[in-house]
Amino acid sequence: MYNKKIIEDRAFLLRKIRNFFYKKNILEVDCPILTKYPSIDTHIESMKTKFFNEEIGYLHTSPEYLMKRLLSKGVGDIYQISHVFRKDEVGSLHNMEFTLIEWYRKNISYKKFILEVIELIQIFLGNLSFSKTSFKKIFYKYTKIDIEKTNKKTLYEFAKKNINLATPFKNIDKDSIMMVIMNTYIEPNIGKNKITIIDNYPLSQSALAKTKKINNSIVSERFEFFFKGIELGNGYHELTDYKEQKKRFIKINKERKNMKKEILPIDKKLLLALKKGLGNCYGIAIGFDRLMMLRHKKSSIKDVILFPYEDL
Amino acid sequence: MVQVTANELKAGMKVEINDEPYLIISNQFVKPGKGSAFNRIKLKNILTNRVIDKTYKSTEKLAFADVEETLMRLIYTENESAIFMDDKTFDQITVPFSILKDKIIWLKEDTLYEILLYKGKIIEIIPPIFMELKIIKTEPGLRGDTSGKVLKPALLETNAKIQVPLFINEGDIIKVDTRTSQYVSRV
Repeated sequence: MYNKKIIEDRAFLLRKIRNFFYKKNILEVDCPILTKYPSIDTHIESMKTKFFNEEIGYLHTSPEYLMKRLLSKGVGDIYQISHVFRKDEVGSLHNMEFTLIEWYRKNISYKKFILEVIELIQIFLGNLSFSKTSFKKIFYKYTKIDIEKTNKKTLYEFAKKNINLATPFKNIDKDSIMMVIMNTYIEPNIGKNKITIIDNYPLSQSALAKTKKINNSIVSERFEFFFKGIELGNGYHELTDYKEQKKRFIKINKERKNMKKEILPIDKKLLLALKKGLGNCYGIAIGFDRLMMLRHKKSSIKDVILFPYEDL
Repeated sequence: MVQVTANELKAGMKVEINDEPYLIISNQFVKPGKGSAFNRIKLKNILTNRVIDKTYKSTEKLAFADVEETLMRLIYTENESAIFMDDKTFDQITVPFSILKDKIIWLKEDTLYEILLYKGKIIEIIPPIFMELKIIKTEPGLRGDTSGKVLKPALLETNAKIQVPLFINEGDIIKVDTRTSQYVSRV
């Protein structure tokens, strides 16, 4: 891509966002992008490189772990605008290197935090209205399936019929089927004219969020923002229980082992930071390039990135 | 069998699903921030030309279809079949008209055709994109009209019926696009 107008507009928006955070007294930080510990996630792969003496380094997939270490030291509210890397993710909405806006707020209510995120999205997309629904509700609305009561077979049959899922039953787990229905059958219809927030994700769908009880079922305090069917960002009421965090990391590594993926080293300094305490804290990561794509009404993220993977 | 993951499929590749060969038309990568990656793939069945969509986990492995392309020359046609020959090996094959389907109107002796073989069996014959063919029947040409905007029907030596400009006459040789059956120019 060479489009001077978009290059200028990227610079303009970066300046606007920095101004947005400055006015709210949120501090900009620039944590390293090359780290010693990868994000521990079942489905996100870090790119690897090496420090001295064959010591493995990872390009971060988000600045989360180091930002949380800063939070535990009492730095206060912080944000980082950062290039991040996710291995093998290439498509009209994905580029292996992209720009993330990530921030953390202490002692803020859920409602206030949501409004702050909306405010940031509006800088890019204008004064859009918004609405909020839960994962369970939106899933039921489009599929008539109650995710708390359903089983793998029902989900598989639905996916086979409605999205021609061709991966054999034994090669796919229940959560993956649920999520592919969500991503390909439901999400494209979400947020047609307004920003839509989906919250209260199933427990299986979050590594770093707190949980809460709603009508006798436990959900995770994770929330996502959508516009025109595109996922813009993912936020958490941050998990601060280090034991619980450690348990989840181990669980993820078990899942990775079952999938024949690499077992990832756990960041003990992050766990120590959680032990020391983050305080009550909300955090979110928003995709800068996707917002630019929507702002410029482009159908591919490649149209707003200076040198997408294919053009390097 | 050579395999490829769903994420590596690109338009133009050919894979085998349930013992039938498919051509990849497009491949869309789908992945939520947190969650496994999928690919939504549009494919065309090479035998039936039917286009379908399928969703695969990105890591799902598919087998490349054993589809071979080779160039062969049409040496002659018989009642119900055409005989092609490989210029290098002199191997000859007989292709029944039933396999040629709509390509039957583009058979001209001594022309090189692309032959698609699936597991060694012929499944499709592709004529050159542009062919130079003789007009064997059309209404007399109108002198003076060279605009090419008004068209009339014409029969080509291969039995293809196409539309040509008014100034074209019987016996003229024209260039035609075999993908669209459209007149291109007079030769």
